[in-house]
Amino acid sequence: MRDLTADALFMDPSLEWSRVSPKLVTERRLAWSVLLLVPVGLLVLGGVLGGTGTASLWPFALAAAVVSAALAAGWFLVIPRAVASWRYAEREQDLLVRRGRLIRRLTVVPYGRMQVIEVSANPVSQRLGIATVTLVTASANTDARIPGVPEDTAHALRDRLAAKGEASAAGL
Amino acid sequence: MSTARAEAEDGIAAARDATELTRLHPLTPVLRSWRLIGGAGAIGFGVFRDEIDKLRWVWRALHGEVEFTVLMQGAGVLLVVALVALTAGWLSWRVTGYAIVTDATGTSTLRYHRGFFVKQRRQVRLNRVQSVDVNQPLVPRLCGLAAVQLDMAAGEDASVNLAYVRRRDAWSLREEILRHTAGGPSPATASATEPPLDTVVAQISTPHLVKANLLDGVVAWVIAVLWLVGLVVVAVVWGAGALLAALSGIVPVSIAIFAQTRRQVLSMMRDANFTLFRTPAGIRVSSGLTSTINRTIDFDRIQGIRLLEPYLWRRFGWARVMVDIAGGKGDGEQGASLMPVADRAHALALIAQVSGAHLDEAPYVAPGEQARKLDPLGWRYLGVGLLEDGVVRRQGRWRRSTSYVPYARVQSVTAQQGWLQRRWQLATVHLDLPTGAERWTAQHRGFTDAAGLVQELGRQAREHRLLPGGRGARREVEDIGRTPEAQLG
Repeated sequence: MRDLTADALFMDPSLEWSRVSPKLVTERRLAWSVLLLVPVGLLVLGGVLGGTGTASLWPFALAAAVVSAALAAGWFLVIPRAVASWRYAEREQDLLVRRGRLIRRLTVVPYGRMQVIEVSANPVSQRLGIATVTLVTASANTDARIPGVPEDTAHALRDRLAAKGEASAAGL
Repeated sequence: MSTARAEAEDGIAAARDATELTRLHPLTPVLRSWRLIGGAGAIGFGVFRDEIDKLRWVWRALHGEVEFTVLMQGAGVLLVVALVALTAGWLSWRVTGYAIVTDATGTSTLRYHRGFFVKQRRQVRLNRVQSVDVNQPLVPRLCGLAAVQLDMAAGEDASVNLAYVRRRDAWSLREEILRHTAGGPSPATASATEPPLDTVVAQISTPHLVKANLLDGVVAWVIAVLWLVGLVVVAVVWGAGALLAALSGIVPVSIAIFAQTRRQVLSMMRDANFTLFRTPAGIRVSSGLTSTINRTIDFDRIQGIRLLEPYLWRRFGWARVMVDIAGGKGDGEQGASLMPVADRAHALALIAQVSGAHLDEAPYVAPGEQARKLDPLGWRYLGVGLLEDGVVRRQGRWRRSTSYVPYARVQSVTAQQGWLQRRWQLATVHLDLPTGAERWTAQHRGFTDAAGLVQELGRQAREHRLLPGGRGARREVEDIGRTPEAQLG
C-alpha cells in the first residue's frame, strides 16, 4: 500500500522507466576505493615508518585502516542500491529523473526549458563505455543529471532530447 | 566571386569597426581610480608606520620646521601612484566606448568596447536585457554623473555597467535602450525631462520607512538584549568561572547584533526616498539616500513576487513586497524592494497590477495532516494555491511570507522526500527558477497532493511556455490603466 502511493509520486508505474547501467557501480566503487585507499595506504605507511621512533604509531594506523576498511565495505554494499535507484523516463513533453533512496528526488524538466544537453565521460567511464547526460536549464537548481548511461544510448538520448527541445520553444 | 564576397565581408567588418563609439565621461578615470589612490595611501601609511611619530611634522610644518625627507618621500610616493593610476585610468577610458547599432533585420545591439591590454568587445542584444538601471553612487552623484546598468539573465558577470556618463545622457540612453527592449520603437516620447515624467504610483515617506524598519527589527533586538542580560545574570550569580562561558556566548550575539544592525541600516538607506513610477512597459523604482538607484522592471521579466509580513507589522496591517528579476545580484538577500512598506491591501493591489495575481483570493490548500509532526508550530500556516497564471505559497507562523511564481517562469519541478517525510507520507515540492530568483518551496505536502502538484505544475509550466508571445507576456499595458490605481504612502 505504502509502496503504491510512493510510486505514484516518485515512480509512476504507468511510465516506462529506464535504469542506468550497472557498470556505474564499478565506476563508483573504483572512485570510492581510490578516495579511501590512498589515504589509508599513506597512513599505514606512515605508521610503519613512524614505528621506529620513540612512540609507536602502529596502533593508530591499524585502527584507522580497520575503520576505513569497514566504511568502504559498508559503502560497497550500498552503492548498487543507490545506483539502482537512479531512473529516468521520457514523456511526451518532459523528462523525469528520479534518484536517491534515503532522500528521494524527482525532477521534471519540460523539453522547452532545456538550454543545453551535455554528454560527458571521464576516463574511467570511457573505459567502461558509459557517460553522464546532463540537462541544463536557466535555473541553477535544476538537478537533472543521469550518470551511467551506456554510450550509444546516451548519444541517442541526447539527439532525441535535442530534437524535442527544438520542437518546443526556446529562450528564457 | 569569392574575392568579391571576401571584400564585401571586409567592408562589413570595416564598417562595424568604424561605428562611432561614444566615450564615457572624462571624469570616469578619476572616479574609478580614487579607490586605487586611497589604497596606495593606506599602503604608504603602512610602510611609513615606523616613522609615524614624525607625522608631527604636520603640526611642525605650521611652525616652519619641516622634515623634508619624510615629507618628500610620502608626497613623492603618493604622487607617483596617483599618476600611474590616473594614466592607467585614462588609457582604459580612451579605449572604452559604447554604441547602439541596429542591423538590417531590425534587432538592436549594444556594442561595448573596453580593455587596453586585454581587449573586450561585447555585443549585447537589447531584446535580451532584463532591466535597465540608472544608479548614482554618492561621489559621482555629487559630480552630476550616473551609471547605466544593463542586467542580463545570465547574472552579474554578463551585465554591462556603463559608468559614468552625464546624468542627462544616462536617462536618454536608458530611454533609448528601453525603446528597443520593449520591441519596436514606441511613439517617440523623447521628452526633454530627465528623469522622464512617469506617473507616480506610490511614494513612501522616509520617516515612515525608518519607523517600520525599527519595528521589524525590534523583536530581534529584544531577544538579543534578553540574551545578554541572561548571560550577565549567569555571570553574577555563578561567579567568574561562568563568566568565561558567558563570554563565549556574548561574542557571537554581539556579532549577530552588529550584522543585523548593519543589514537594517543598509536596507533603510537603500529604500529611503522610495518612489514607484509607472512606465509604458512596466514600473520604475527610484530610491536611495546617499546613492540613488533607478530600476526599471518590465512586467514580463518578473520571475517571482513575495509579500513579507513580519510579526509586528501584521498588527498594523503592513507588508513589504519584493520582486525577483532574472540576472539580479546574488548578494545576500535576493530580489529588490517593489514596496518597502505599505498597507497590506495596497501591497496586494500592487501585486495584482504587476502580475495579475490576486493573492488574497487564492484557493489555499493546507498541507497534509501529518505535516504537524515535522513542523508543529508552522504547519497550520502552510498553504499552496493554484491561480490562473501562477502558483502561490504561504508559510511562516510569525514572519509570514507569501511567494508567487508565474507558471511561465518555471524551469523545472522537483519533488524531494527525506526519510522522516517518507515515514509520514509527505513530500516537499520545489520550483526551480532562473538565477537571481529565490527557489519556490512548498513544504510537507501530502503524498497524493504532492504528486498532483508535480503533475499540474509541470503541465502549467509547459503550457504557459507555448503561449503566443513566448515569454508568457500576459499583461497588457492597458490593463494597468484600467485597474483602479492604489494611492499609497
